[in-house]
Amino acid sequence: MEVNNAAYNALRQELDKYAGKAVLIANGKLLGIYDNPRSAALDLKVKAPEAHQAIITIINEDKREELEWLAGSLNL
Amino acid sequence: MASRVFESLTCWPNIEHIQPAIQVTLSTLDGRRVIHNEKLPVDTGFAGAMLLSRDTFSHFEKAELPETESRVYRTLIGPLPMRTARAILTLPFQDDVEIFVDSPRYGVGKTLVGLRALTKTMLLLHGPGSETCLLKKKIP
Repeated sequence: MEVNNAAYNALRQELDKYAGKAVLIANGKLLGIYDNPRSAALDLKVKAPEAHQAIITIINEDKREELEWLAGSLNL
Repeated sequence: MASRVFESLTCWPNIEHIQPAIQVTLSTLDGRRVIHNEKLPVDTGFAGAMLLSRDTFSHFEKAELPETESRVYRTLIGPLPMRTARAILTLPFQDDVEIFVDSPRYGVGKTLVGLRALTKTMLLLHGPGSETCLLKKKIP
């Protein structure tokens, strides 16, 4: 996954022009731009069937969220 | 004040008589079922949709968010970074819905259903009956 994260970070500014679209990154490469994440997931099977990990994210929509986790199940 | 009447569609006994539980099917974005009609604990203290163990999360690694966009949970022991991925959740009597699933970046994790998975459901936590029921509004 590190190689995919590195590719994403390197491409991040360039990907701004695809705001609202889903991007697919696997094997450290940008494999495509899609209208939705499901299309990206299906295309991964075609373009990189051997990949075990991939990034699928919607540009400028998927952002880091901070959420609450109260104590109930906090036993990792 | 208008009264509202509900009827239960289905109920599940609580886990070990204490923990509310609901039946869940969870699939990858390309349609592969990973969890099939399995009864999982409900934790309303977890604000995300679903927490997964590391093993279960490994099935969703082909639709993961970048590390910079993955979630962080505020907990009593400090911020907890997660790995976050897309998945398809199916609850009984509901349409499929795309959700984010999380698994702790460090540690083995556990599997539970959180608040965001329940936003489109009407759920009864029936303490005296030690069961959890899915409801629908009853039209008089």
